[in-house]
Amino acid sequence: MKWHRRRISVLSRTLETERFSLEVAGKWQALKLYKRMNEDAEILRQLSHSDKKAGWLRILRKYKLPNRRSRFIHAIVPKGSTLSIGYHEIYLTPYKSTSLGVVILDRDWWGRAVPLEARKAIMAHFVRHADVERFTGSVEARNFASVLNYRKLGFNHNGTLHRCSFDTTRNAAVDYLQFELLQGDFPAYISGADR
Amino acid sequence: MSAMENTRRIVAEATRTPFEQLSDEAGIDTLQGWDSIAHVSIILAVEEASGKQLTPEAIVSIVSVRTIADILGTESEPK
Repeated sequence: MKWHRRRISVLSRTLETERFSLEVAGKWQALKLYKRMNEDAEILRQLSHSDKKAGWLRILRKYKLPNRRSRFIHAIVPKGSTLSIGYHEIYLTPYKSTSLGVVILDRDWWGRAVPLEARKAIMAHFVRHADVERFTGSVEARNFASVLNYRKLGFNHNGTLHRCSFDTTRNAAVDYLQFELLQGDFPAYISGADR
Repeated sequence: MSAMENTRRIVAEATRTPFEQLSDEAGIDTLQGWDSIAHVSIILAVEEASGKQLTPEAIVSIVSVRTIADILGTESEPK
């Protein structure tokens, strides 16, 4: 069995942080979260550089559905609520590596460090139970809030993809920043987690 | 106004920190008010002060008062 295709039951467990429950979404819940994202023009513009909503078929093709083996989506649900305010994606890739993504759909939660709190718990959990040794992320260079989050989490900037995408709303090329965090550099929120 | 003084003014305003309490060494890990909303304001203010859009490498290098002062200092150097 390939490393990233193993089924590890504890990875499907809901995680608790100070303010949130991080519930592992199934395919249907993930689709509903993608649909909410797809209907939000501002978020859509940020993520896909286009105002154009995608149809169901395109959503299915473009956004990978979780399988609880190599692809996990955590719905971020504030404690005392049943509604998710966004979601976090973690994809396992060979070898002992992951790529990350996060979308906060509820504007009331913007600027309140939600990605930091959710991601710290998820990263520590996957290091502990899936033996992840490398985290990676990619973000548009002018998505300043996400860039800050990666830096606050201790990620290193390991490259820039210049003019690698095109923003149809601004009619301009877009740069992406690549981030990486290797085992030897794991900060205390990971290495200090109960192993 | 020096690059450092200008930077401290920008960061103090964005993070709502009293100017006189803001050290040259303050950064994203040490300054409580340096959240994502403050970060957006800081980068836009730096771009306004330098009169041009920052490169991706400059954007990712902004992690402290000192790194911003370096960017603004370089921008204001005679070419």
